[in-house]
Amino acid sequence: MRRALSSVLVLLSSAAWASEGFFQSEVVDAVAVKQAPKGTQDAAWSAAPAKPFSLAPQRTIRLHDKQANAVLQRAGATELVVRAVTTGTELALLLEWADATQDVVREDEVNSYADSAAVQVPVSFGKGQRLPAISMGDDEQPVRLWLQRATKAGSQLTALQAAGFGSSTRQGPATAPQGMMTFDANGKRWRAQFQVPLDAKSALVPVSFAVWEGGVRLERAGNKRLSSWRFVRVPGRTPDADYVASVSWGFGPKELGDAANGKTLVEAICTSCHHVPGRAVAPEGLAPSLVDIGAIATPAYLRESVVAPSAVILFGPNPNQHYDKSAQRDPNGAYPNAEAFQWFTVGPGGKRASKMPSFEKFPPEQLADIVAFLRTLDGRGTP
Amino acid sequence: MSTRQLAMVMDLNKCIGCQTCTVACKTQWTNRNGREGMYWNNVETKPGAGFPKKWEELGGGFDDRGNLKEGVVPSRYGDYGVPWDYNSDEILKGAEVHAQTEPRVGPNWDEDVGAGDFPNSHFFYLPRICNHCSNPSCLAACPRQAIFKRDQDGIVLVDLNRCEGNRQCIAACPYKKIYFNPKLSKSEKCIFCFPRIEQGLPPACADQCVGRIRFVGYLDDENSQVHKLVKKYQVALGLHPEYGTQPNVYYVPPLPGPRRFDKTGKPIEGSERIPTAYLESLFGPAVHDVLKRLSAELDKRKKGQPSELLDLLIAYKHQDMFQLGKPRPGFKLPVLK
Repeated sequence: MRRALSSVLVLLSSAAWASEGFFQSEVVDAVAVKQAPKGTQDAAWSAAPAKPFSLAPQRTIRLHDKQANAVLQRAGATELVVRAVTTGTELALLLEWADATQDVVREDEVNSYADSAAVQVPVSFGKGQRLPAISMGDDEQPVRLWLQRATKAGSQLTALQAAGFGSSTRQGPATAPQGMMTFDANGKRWRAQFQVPLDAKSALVPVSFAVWEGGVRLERAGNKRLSSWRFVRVPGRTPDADYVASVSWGFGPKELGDAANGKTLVEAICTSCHHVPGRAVAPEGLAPSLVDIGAIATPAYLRESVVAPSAVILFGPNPNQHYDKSAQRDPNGAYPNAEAFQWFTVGPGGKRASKMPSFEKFPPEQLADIVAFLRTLDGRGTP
Repeated sequence: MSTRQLAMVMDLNKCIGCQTCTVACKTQWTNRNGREGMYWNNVETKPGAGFPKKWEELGGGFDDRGNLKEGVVPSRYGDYGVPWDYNSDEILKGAEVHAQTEPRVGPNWDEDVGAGDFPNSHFFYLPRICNHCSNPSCLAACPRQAIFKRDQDGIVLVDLNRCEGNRQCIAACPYKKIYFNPKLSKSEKCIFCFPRIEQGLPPACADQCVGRIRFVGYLDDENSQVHKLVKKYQVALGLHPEYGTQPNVYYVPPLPGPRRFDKTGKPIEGSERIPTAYLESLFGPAVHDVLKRLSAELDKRKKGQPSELLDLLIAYKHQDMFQLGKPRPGFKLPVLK
């Protein structure tokens, strides 16, 4: 009864009113349980509401497996169904998605990849804190990751921490994760259960999800399908109204502008560095590709990226991917890396700044139009 | 990218394809722990598909503007081959010899096949290790920056603590000289025998080379034979310079060999058994000048004149082929009993 009452109060608060759409599409409600589920078939899961989230293929940066890239060109969005239950000290998540083939870790082949799944949670979050960059956090906002790779017997579980793309580091046994993966051979669906720690206060836990299809898609590492930051609402706790307001910007009525006008603006201004669907004129890797950005970035993050690009520094892919052929070679014949492909500059005292100019002084309506357009790039409409 | 660069020169005119280098490397590093299918050193027959099969068609390296190219990760069953054993125990009891798994492809599958029809058939051997490139594409492709190039000698190594077995390096290496260890789920490669280098010893493949084809030294060491062959006399070239990685294994290209025969069995004046165009496809256009320089030196010797270059290539003293500086203080060569 008390739980029901608190959720009524949340709905009545003004922030919650504006963010109704946010709770509808971005938040999965956890159900309270006495004991963590014992596996992917545990009865506790049938009582938890299922929330469908869309995952888009990672196309912000390009990796270098020719066969995987060929598949990626025709890849679309994938639906992930998420359920959550909580004991109050632990959050259990059940991820469910379709996969035509069961691909597990093999010791007899060198170009086979295992189906995998991962969840990502910020190291710290809540009132006054911005969300980490979706690409495995950033140096100000690190993330914790739990990864499962399918094996013949179940799954390999790994706990990691990361502060930016390519920085994930395995954590010792102290944070040994729990979880399991099971494949329904008839329904052709994976189920993966993750258990992550939950503190005593958090009411709205940011989580993002990724899955890998090791078979025909040859997915591993950055070749994966991922979600933007989503949230788990913990029963019996009231999310902070300011925090809800900050993370739910863009889901309220009239917050985003006219996507058609945004498209015109983006194509005119942004495509000299960024790729968008149907317009990839900038050199590959010069800046993050925006082809699926709407599926992996929240509206608030998109707005911040345009207004204050240096608020979050993305390190980008390996800086050795492009060398400068116009520069002098060193005595051993090596060309230096091409500076143009570095996404940030390093100023005095090591301070990093994004190379993207700020659009702070842009008219607010046009900013809203740009964000509205970028939100439509959700991986469903792209080829 | 590194302060100094170790390099190896291989004289292809002296390689007899005995695979002693392959075995030296294998017993030193790759006969165990998931590395059984790897050949950090292999000797393949050219023209030929090589190892892994048709590796030259699998992409990787840098394009002509300096951008990393995508490539293909070969398969064990189709391209590298699954190591097989024979039924040795049963043979003693009278059974017929057969392999225990059906051989389909392997590291020297097309050995001695070559190209051309008798009597104009031809081939030569091409020993290959990691090129420890000056712009390594494996290093550039790693999404975790787990591959690094040592400053003191330019040796390219994988940090196995950082490697997560994503195999972007394998796709991106145009020489396919980095391999996946499916048991450890890590990528591994030729380490230029760095623990030996640090003791002043040449890599095992070079030390055991019976043909004395391998020179090892620093490119900037003017006293090293490597420097003399690559920089002073300029008779050694990197393999596939068009891959754009600036390889640091250099080859003295094979001389054209005897002349071709016409239909009546007469030698064709001025003809080449190994087409120079083919050598150009391996070593780039500079191969023409290299062959001219080598021929000129040979002519000098034929006239009884001295040639430092040919003396170097003959390698009267094996130890002179290696200039690796002083070993680490306190190091003593182990005495074999």
